[in-house]
Amino acid sequence: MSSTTTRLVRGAERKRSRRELLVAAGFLAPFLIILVIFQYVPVGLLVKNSLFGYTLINPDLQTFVGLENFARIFKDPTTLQTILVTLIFAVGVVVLIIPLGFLLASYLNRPLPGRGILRTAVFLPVITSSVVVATLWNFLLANEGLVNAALNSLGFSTMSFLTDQSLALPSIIIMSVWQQVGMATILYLGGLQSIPGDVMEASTLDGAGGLKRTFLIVIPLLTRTTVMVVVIMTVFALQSFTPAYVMTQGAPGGTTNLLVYEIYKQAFTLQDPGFASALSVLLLVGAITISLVQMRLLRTRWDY
Amino acid sequence: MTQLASQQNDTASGPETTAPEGRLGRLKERGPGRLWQRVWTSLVVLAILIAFLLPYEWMFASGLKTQSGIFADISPLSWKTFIPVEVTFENIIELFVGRGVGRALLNSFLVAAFQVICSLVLCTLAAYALTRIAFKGRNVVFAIILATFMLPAEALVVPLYQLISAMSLQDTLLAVGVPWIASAFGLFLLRQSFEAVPLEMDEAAKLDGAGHFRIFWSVILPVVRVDIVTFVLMIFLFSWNGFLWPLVAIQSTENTLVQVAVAQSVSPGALPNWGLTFAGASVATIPLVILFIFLQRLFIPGLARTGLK
Amino acid sequence: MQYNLTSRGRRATVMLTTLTIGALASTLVACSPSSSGGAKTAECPEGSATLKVLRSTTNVPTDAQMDEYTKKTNDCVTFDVTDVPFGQYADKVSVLSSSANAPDIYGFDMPETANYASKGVLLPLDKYLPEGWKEDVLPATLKEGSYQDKVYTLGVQQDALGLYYNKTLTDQAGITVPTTLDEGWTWEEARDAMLKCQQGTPGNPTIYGLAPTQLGSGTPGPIYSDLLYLRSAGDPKAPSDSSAYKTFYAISPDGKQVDGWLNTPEAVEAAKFYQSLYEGDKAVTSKTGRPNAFIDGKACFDMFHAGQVQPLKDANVSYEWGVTPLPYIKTPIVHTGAITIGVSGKSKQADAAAKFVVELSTGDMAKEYNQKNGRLPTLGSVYKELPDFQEPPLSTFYQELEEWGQPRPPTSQFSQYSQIVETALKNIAYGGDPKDQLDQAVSKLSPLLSR
Repeated sequence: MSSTTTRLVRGAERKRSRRELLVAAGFLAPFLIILVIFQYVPVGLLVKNSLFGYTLINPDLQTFVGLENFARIFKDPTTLQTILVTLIFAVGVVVLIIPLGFLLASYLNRPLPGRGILRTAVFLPVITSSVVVATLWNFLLANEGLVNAALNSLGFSTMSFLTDQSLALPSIIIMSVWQQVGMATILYLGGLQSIPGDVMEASTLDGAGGLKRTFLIVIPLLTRTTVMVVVIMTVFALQSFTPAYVMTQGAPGGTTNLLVYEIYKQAFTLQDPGFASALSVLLLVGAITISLVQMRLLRTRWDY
Repeated sequence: MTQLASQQNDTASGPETTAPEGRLGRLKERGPGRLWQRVWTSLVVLAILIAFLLPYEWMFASGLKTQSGIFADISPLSWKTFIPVEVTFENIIELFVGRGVGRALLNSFLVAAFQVICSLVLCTLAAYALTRIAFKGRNVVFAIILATFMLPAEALVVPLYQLISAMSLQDTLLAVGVPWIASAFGLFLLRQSFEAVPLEMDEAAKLDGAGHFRIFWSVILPVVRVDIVTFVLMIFLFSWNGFLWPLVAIQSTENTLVQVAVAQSVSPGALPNWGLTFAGASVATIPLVILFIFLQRLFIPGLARTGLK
Repeated sequence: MQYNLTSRGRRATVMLTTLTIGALASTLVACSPSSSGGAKTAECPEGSATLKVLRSTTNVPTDAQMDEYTKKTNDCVTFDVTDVPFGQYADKVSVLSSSANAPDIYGFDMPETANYASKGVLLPLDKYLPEGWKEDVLPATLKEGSYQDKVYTLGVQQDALGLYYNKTLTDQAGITVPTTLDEGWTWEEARDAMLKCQQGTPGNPTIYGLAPTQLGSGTPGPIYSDLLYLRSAGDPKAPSDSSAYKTFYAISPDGKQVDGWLNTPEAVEAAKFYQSLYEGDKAVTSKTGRPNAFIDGKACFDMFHAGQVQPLKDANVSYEWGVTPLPYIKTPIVHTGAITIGVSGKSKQADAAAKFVVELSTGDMAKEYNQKNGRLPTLGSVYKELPDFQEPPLSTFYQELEEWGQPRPPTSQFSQYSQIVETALKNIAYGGDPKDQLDQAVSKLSPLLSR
């Protein structure tokens, strides 16, 4: 698909290219203007804010503190824990969602009774807002909630999913996987259906069994899809806010204190928007770096 | 090309109607259909359905119960947990009459509609320039745009609020929608489908004397309209489900959006009410579910294609 | 492939789109309310005003109060109300107070007074105070509503926590519940009673000994209730450099230090007891909570303020109930302070707003509010006129307030104190190590307080 562009570039005359540039500018201008105003200007403000100490209540009383806000990130054990928790959360979500999404997609790619309904069901949480998902799961996982009621009626004792140090983070990871696995499934389904049939048949003729075929042929062919899923899910996980805000408030013991929730708390409740901005800059740089590294490691190039 | 991808050019037929059942599957299923395999398959299907649909069912059903009813029915677990025996509409009434959720729904809809229309205009124009016009620095521009895709919107809340206040837009619905109309994700989606339209079509139009805008309007847009449905739904989804930004940007009750209204009934301070919360969550979810069920035949294949590139 | 170069209809579509966007955009902007002050006219000799109110959902000023006031002023003063859930109130104030559409009137939590006053969010009201007010008001209320000897809020109501009990259940369990302050239980005694009355296994009971909390966000930790466990382990009569004394106050008098005040050995012991209410074989309550457990008859006891008396009467519950004084560890204590109203320091209609606030907080309007909602009055004169408050159950709360009342730890960084200590208490309730959690809270708070 990308070869079309090079064909166009070739043989373009200078005059024409200048006129083309003007036309392109006309087409791009509305988008770029809005993008710069509402994305790049705030990023600039963010960086500026991160160098100051001030409060939202009294923004005029600000003092320049240089890089001190950034230094605090690495001195404060709570913030370090928050970063660690967020990374574990992201890794947990991605590591679970890739195989599950792939399995579900392979499953949905077969003739199944009620395949359409299944696909809709799996995708339903993706279109549900994270507030509703978090609210729903809060009630599912409460000591008096549905899951514990089910456990009790099976003869198991009540589990404190959201308040136990060792269960809270896994619980919100599983919730997020439930919420987003449909996205991964749909992307993989698209990938699977794009594998040419003769490739599969040829490999069957070569005597490749199901497992062997999956690992040697299908998975490598789906690398691009995998990169896409990994990047989307990582960005999603790093930005998660509602599980902590609606369900746990970061408890127990800060084990679910996700970074964006900490940013919100620092800015609005603890009245330290400068520090919150420093954390935001960290998140921003972190998210972009991690995505780029992932694309690199998985050895693909996005063709811009 | 494959079933899904070739769909691009015909309009409304979903994969169910035309797709041959997945090739992988067909090869595997040949041979004697063993009973245990069928049982196993049905079990897995059932498990998936329970895992994904039952929580919703419980949510919808509980929204029609009183708070004490929810607790009375939950333990011990029985069919009553999932079916409201004594249906009450008091939660729904309280939501619409007492808490103005109707207004919040309307606000959410207005913002979403605004966002969809504006991003549609901005993104289709930009996607055209990035795929159809050759100019120097095209890749740089695209990289600048795509970088914002990885930019966590949540990190920008404080400076965005500063910006919006400076424009005197705080506490307006416009402030909720306008920062996101230059959507990098939307552009990414459209750029892919624009690229899939053969260049020969442009050239034929050019021979007829068509300029860029005419090619854009009369050649490209009609061809990619299926993908535009995906695009519209995605933008609508992002807008409708947004939470942190509306929470910060909007102060007055009359401008509240539905997700914020729902979250507020989760922790109203003194008396969190499960029945009301369930009803609120249902009200915030149902419009999207309906929209999705109607449009999913167009939507899912469109989304699936983005993973191919 | 088909393409269509005929442009008829295209322009129309473009126009239509532009119009739609324009219309939508103007709808979206048009929604912002604007407050306005009008000139003095014959109907409104003092000028007309629309006051913007930011209040905690369904609390003061109530719709009824504002309607009444509007009527009283011949429609010269009207209101434009924004409701915010209690849990988000402080966050909203921090965003709004410096913005262009700051409210004229705040309906905020009283311990925030010093915080807001020190930052210019609130306006001092001394020149609006009616004569004799300072002598009439409860001393605790006066202290809490003042900052650096200026009065910033008058207080519309007072609150204190009591222990509600379901008499039908306690009778069944053979428990006699004390009713006077002198006979009030210690926490050990109270917990024994709760355990005895509780039904089912600890941690997962069918009837709770103590109802899961509904205060704050509905989870353990709000300092209004849960810091009391720690503070009641202290002793205000001990020498002022002793840790027992410091435990009782939980912050230094200047509001700048917590090390050695919040994390004393006494506080840690109390925190261990607090934890045992939630965990282990003597647990009497639940970490995740079940709303309305007490009203639904699913709990023997409930720690709640006087505001539950009226709902219980309204609900016509099928059991008998009463209120016993709040248990303590060493020294009885309840937190004073409730939601109150004040005027924005940035209000352009400060006079009109201040008149409204004073009117609401004094005289007939205060009396009417206290009576209708069963909220404890702040004025001695009002208390004398309302017999309901002189007999149980409301009298218990009022006596607690008079004899045991202490403000929440006063500091101009109250939001931060509240947030950090609440998190620590929540973590303790969820099983975190009490000493570690309190030490952590201290190390997080210290730099913020000295700022």
